[in-house]
Amino acid sequence: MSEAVANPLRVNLVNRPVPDPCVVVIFGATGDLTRRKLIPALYNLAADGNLPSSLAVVCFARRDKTSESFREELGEAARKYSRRPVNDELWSRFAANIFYHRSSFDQADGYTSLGNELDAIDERLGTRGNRLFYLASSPTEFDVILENLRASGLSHAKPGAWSRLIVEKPFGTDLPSAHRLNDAVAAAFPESDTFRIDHYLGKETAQNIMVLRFANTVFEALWNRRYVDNVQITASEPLGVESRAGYYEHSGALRDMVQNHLLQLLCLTAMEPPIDLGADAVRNEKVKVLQALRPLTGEAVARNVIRAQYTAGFINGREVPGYRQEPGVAPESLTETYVALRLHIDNWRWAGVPFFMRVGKRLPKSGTEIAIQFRGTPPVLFNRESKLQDPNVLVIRIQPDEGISFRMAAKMPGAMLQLEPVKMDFHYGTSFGKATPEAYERLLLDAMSGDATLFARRDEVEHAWRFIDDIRAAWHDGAAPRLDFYPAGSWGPREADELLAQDHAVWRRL
Amino acid sequence: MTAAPAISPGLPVEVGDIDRQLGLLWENSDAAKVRASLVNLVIYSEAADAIAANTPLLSAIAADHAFRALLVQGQPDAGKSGVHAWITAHCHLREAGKKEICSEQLTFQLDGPAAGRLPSIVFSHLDTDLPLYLWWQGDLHPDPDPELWRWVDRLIIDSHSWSAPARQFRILQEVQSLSRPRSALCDLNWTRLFHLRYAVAQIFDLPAALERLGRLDHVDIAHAPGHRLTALQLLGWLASRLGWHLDHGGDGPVFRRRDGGHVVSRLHEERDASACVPSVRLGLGDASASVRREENADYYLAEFTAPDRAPFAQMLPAGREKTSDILLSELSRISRHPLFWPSIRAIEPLLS
Repeated sequence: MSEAVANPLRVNLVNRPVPDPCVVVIFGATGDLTRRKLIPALYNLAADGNLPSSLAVVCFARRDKTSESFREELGEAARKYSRRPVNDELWSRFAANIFYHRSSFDQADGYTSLGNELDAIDERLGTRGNRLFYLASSPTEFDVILENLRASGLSHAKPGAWSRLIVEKPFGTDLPSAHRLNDAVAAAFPESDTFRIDHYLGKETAQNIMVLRFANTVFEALWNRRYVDNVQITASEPLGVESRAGYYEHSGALRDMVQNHLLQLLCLTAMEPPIDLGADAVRNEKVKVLQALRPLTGEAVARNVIRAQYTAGFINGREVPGYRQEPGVAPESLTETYVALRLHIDNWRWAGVPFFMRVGKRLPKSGTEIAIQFRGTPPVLFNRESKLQDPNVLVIRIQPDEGISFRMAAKMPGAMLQLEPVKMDFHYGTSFGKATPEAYERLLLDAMSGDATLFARRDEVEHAWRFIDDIRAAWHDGAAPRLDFYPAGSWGPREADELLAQDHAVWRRL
Repeated sequence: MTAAPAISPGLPVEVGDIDRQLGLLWENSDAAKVRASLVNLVIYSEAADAIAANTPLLSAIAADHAFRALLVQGQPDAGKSGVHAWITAHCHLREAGKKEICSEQLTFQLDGPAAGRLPSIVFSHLDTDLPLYLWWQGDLHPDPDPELWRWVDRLIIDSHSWSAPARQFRILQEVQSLSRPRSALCDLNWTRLFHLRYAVAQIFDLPAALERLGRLDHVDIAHAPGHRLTALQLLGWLASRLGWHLDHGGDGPVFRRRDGGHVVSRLHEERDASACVPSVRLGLGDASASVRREENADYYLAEFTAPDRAPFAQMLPAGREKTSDILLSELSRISRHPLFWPSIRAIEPLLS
């Protein structure tokens, strides 16, 4: 980045770091992620003028293709998945710097020839030896790719250049596998050059959580055990397991969603203000939240975790099968498609405040949100027992319809003193009409610029796995909870409602 | 709510009855519409077609940026004093199945002495707590009213339309001195150059180009008729960023570089130009850099050639040049434009 900083014409043009010229090397480039997300994201960055002056993409995969044929395939994908219409001339200039490198992941020669190709690209296009390696392959291939990157010397940055790694989730399937993966990563790349993608962190609303909390006096002052009754984090979707049964049967909702996305949202919601907005300052605070999470083991799992699976039901009036009837799912499957948890963060700010989390498939509607439920007013004046008022709720909607709403009480017009809850509602789409960039655009740009703030650090991932593994261990030890069931199209099992009832709380209806 | 033709200022109302009429407008609207506002956008113009020209522009902006607009046409030379008002809303469906997003437009025509009551009209009809953006169209008045300026959060002007830029920039400095320290100034003529400046800067991220930047000796800028000031601002930006001082003006202004060398510049009008500044070419000794926009193209082509390396070319967004697009671009970036005044000062002697 030194050249970009030294460029006096760059000053004050944009208020973000300028990405360095580089080559993006995508491993497993023939997969869906490259077509649906990565290439459209890179194209949109090009269309916005956000790419560095020189950028090339090398697609590393096993299948027999040529650069020309692969460019055509990617062109079709870009036209289908890009958030903006594709400009033919821009695409052809962008695509001219996409190259297909055919090799199996375990073939040492393939990495030697990759190195030669990258050097030639540097010479031809001025990419200055900067490499961004993207692991978009199956996780089972990560080890061999990392080992070959290390052995071939490609992971080692050349003098004055950088070599970075982007890893797609899942970052392991449990703590030991996460350790192994992280060790393999660390053997090839320093942590400072490792970017673990959790695309939730690239979403505008997730980024806005810190802004809401730390750029507004009023919220942070109330953001603690004195005023907050409970916090509810929900990720619901009406979709079933679709074509992912093979993966989902092994993963389940806890590992698929809670270990990464939901715990990340929890961290952003509960963390202390960082000393600055740098990557490590922010991630240090997130890690402290995970460290303060009260571990759930043995009987505590039974008391605080509900796991369930959907049975046949109706979504939008359409009959849908139960999970065990889905193609690719074992008829006796015990995989959870729904999890509800009651968590406690044992620190000064949050002691005694339950954090409820739920994630589920085949729920009535799609939505991810964080709801801060405030304490009620004292039982005098308006909040007497006969006329209990709904407490204030601040809701941060992550997706869809990103926005923030606040519920409060207001007097209904008329001679009677009648109070009704009303909602102040801010919708991103209403206020800011322009299309927001896809999460992958922001994350790729940040990785090219070396900003790791929106990426998960090793210790975050491992702390999250430690917490999740305890729960899974209790499930497998037979220490309960049992698997409950809920009909598709409902808001989850009755037991999840009872979990909240113990704290005199109820789940929000989205 | 009845949708007014985009060119119409809408329903005529009594000035004292505006709030009630606006309330009725929303009471009578259907549930599929929602009122939204991010800023108070006040437009003041003394042009005869101010209302007809700005109403469709506001309608276009409302599609992407919600506001409460106060469109004020001042007619100080009209004989009889009078204030006329209209209200309307611009509603746009941004996403199928969602509500239409509506921005309010309050239009005022101030005749005769009433034209001097702009602050009174503005302050009576602002949406509380939202920032006040004032777009002053045309020449600024020589005696700025402190009562108005000290409440403006962002002053928008377009120097392109000024008849005497040197004098106007002096008034502008006075206006700024009356404004709050936090208020921002935006010249749409400067915003017009954003993508071009970005494309020029991108070339000099190349080490081979950057190492030659200190030896820049020729600047050749083409501009459309009426856009000499736009081209001059681009020249001013280069001069201020690279530390040049004007040696002598005339048709081909010459600047002295920090190392004592000279930079010869040429601004030339292209009659058929389809962009305000369709091209800029920079001579860098044995190398050259250029940015150009082909007719109707959405992108600039930035190029660099030098004897010791392969030619470089990159397409970069050029942005749109309709006034509504320029304004939207400004509203979405909310920059404070710290390089604007240094750029103007670098070319100040060339303004008259």
